[in-house]
Amino acid sequence: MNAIKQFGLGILYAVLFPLILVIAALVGIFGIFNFLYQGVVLIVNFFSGKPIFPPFKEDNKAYDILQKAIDKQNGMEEQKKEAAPASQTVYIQQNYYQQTPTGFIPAGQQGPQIGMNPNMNNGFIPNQGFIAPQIQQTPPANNVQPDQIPMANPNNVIENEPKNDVELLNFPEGDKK
Amino acid sequence: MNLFILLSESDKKALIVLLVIAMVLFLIIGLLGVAVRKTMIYQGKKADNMLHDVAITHVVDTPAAFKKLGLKKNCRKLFKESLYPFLIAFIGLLIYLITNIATSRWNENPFVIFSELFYSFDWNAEEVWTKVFGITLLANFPPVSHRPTFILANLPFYIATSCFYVAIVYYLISCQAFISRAIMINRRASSVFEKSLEGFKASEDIKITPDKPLPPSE
Repeated sequence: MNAIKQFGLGILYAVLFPLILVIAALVGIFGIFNFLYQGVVLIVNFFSGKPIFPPFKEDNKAYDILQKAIDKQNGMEEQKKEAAPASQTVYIQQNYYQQTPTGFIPAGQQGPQIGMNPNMNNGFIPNQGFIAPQIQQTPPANNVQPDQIPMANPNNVIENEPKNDVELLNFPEGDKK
Repeated sequence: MNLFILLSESDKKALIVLLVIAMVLFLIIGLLGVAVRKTMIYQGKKADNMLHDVAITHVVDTPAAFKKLGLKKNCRKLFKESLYPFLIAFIGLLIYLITNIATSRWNENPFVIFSELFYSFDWNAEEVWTKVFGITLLANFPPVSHRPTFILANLPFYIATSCFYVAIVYYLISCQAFISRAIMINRRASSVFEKSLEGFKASEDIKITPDKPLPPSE
């Protein structure tokens, strides 16, 4: 059945072949003129500094509409409106004052230790009592951290000096005659 | 029935052979046509890709504007696609010109030189053609008149002619793609902006979905 259908189509195409050929020839001639016209437009665009194939204005409009729709969907449009005022950068300067028997230590001479309250003096915070200072525990030397390359102890290094002496297990018995 | 009585045995055989040849020929043409049609459908889908965004955003809202923009884009696409065959043809032309300037063989036809690479047949030989009911038909396979010969001095002509043939076939394929895109654009211009009253009753309320705006009127 399929073969008969192909056979019928073959007759149809054979009959229409001259018409198809004429259409193809006409399009071919049109294509040559189109090539020349588009080529001139391309050269003009190139030398005038524009992109050689500038997008059509309809494409630009469609792109804008799609971009707005995407922004609206993502809630970006509201954020853009909210983000209109200029951002302000605030610099915070911290001044530390410590009370000593002689008075206050001026700021900048001795800063607070890491892990200590800046208001603490010798373990005491005014009106709060004694707080033991937090001492940062350093890991033991042998305890190697995962991202640390272990250092070799020079006492444990065994130096293998090259031996020049040749030790023969068996004497060669090649020429024993 | 009287026709078969009038025919001789040899004529009957010739008729059967002709029928078989015609059937095979039409079958091959049909298969070729189907293959061409499938490639045209494949090439036509590129038109959808070109005009999808402008259609869904309603930038283009009439079939005329759709066709106009489609033609513009199709022409640009044809130009881009035909750059390669024109470039190949230009290379072939350069080879031909340089060879002729160097050797001064302006009178020779490069296509004839190229045909020397293939077999050629003597179609005017005796007993090749026969007459059946006054119609001249092919009766025998024609004898070989020329066997393939390769001449090194003709190599530039071979290359140039090959370039020309490749460019012609490539350009024809580009033109075919242009035709298939143009057909698809014409179909889409009518189908995209189509308004159907199938199943609509005027007595019912008009239902408008706010998310999907109605396609604009012509």
